[in-house]
Amino acid sequence: MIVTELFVNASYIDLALLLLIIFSLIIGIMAQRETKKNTEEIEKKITALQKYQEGMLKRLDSGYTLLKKVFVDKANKLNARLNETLEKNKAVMVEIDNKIEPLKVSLNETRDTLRKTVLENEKEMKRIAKELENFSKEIQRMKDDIQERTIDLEL
Amino acid sequence: MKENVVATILFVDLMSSTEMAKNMTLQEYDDMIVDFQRTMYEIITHHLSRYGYVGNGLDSHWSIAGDEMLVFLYSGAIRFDVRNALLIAMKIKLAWLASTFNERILQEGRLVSRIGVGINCGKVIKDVREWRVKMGEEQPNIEGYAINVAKRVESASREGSIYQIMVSDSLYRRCHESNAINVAFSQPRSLVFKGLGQKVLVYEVSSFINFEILSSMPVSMQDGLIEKMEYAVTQPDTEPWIFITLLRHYVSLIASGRHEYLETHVIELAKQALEVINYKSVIYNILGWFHIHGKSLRNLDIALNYFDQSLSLDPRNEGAFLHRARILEKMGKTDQARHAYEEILYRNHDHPEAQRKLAKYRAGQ
Repeated sequence: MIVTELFVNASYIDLALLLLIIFSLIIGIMAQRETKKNTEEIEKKITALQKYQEGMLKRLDSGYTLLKKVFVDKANKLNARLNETLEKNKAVMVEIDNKIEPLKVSLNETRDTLRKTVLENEKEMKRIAKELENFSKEIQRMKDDIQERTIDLEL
Repeated sequence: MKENVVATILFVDLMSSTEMAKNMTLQEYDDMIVDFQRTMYEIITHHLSRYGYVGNGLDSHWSIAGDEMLVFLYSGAIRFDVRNALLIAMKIKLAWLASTFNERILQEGRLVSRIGVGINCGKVIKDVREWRVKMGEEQPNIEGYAINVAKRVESASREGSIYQIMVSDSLYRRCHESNAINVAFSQPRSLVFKGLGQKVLVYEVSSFINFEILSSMPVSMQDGLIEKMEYAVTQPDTEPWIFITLLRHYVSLIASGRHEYLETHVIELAKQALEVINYKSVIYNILGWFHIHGKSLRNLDIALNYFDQSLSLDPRNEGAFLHRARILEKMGKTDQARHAYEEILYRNHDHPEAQRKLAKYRAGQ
């Protein structure tokens, strides 16, 4: 059957439906085109964002590397100074030790002498305390004797 | 080397030992002599050492033979020697009273054998003889008339009735040279002794107040001594000196302020002593003292009364005068107290307390 035949036999409703279908197809095609266009734009933006991210990452990497380098440098310098200080301290300690050793020996001797002296003094103090105690007893005895003698003479 | 020294000579004798020997078995007599000698040895060695005598014939010498002991003291300080001789005499009597032998005699209710003492003071010659040196001995021989007198004086102790410690006139005078020895004597007796050819004045110790008698006894003899004395004074015919020695001991205890519980007992003991002792002044003084210083006995009126009684028997008793004056002062009887101090100063111009008090009264006028 030819097209003309179709139109001859077709009613107006059929024609309207046909037109509607055609129009829908056209709109669909146009929407597809628009979507495709948007998708492409989004893809372009994503690509741009990815590029930007890469750039950022690269910059971060280089910043980190730089920071790391600075830190390591600083740490090495500090470590070196610390070592230097420790070395110096060690030398000072050795020097102090050398100076302290005779003092220590002398101090030990002094301490021993002091302890000995303290012990001797303690003994001496005890002896003196004992003597004082005896003396006090003797004085008390003398006082008692004087009192007794006075009583004797008054009886 | 011969040396003239002034010695105080002490003769100690166990009284009636010959009569006792007749009534004892030989063993019992020997026990008595052994105990006597041991007691004498302990007392004399302990006393001389305690009072600083060197011994070895340098400042003292002693010997014991049978029932006798002879002691010479010649330290150079005569009053010191005299005082020590009196102390030794007292301690010997006390030690013999408490001896093992006499403890047994007392328990059996028999009379304790007594010790007689004679003391004299005079010049003697001290000499270490050649024969002693050859024997390896260094103790001196001491000779002199004073020893004979001491022996005779001791023989008079049998007639004594108080302490039976007799002293010669020279010792009596030494005791009265100062007030440092509180000893009283009975009236003198003029005795003619065989061989001496002249009358000798003999005095008996009637009171000897000395705090050292008991405290300076050897420690081994101090145990139970007071109890033995307390027991002795409950027996018939108690020797009067035991009362005085015991009361003097209680005076010390009460003076220490820790023996209030004794106060009733000492008053009873003193009153018992008044019945036994002829020389009562000292007992009245002791009673007066207890009523001044005894915590539960303190009564100045009673004390004053006792000192008045003491003075009525012995008007020269300085101790009684002094306590009387102090009591009157405490009672606030100023005029009577001043008068009493004046009496003391009248008899003893150097009495320090009377001088001080009278000066105070004069300043207060």
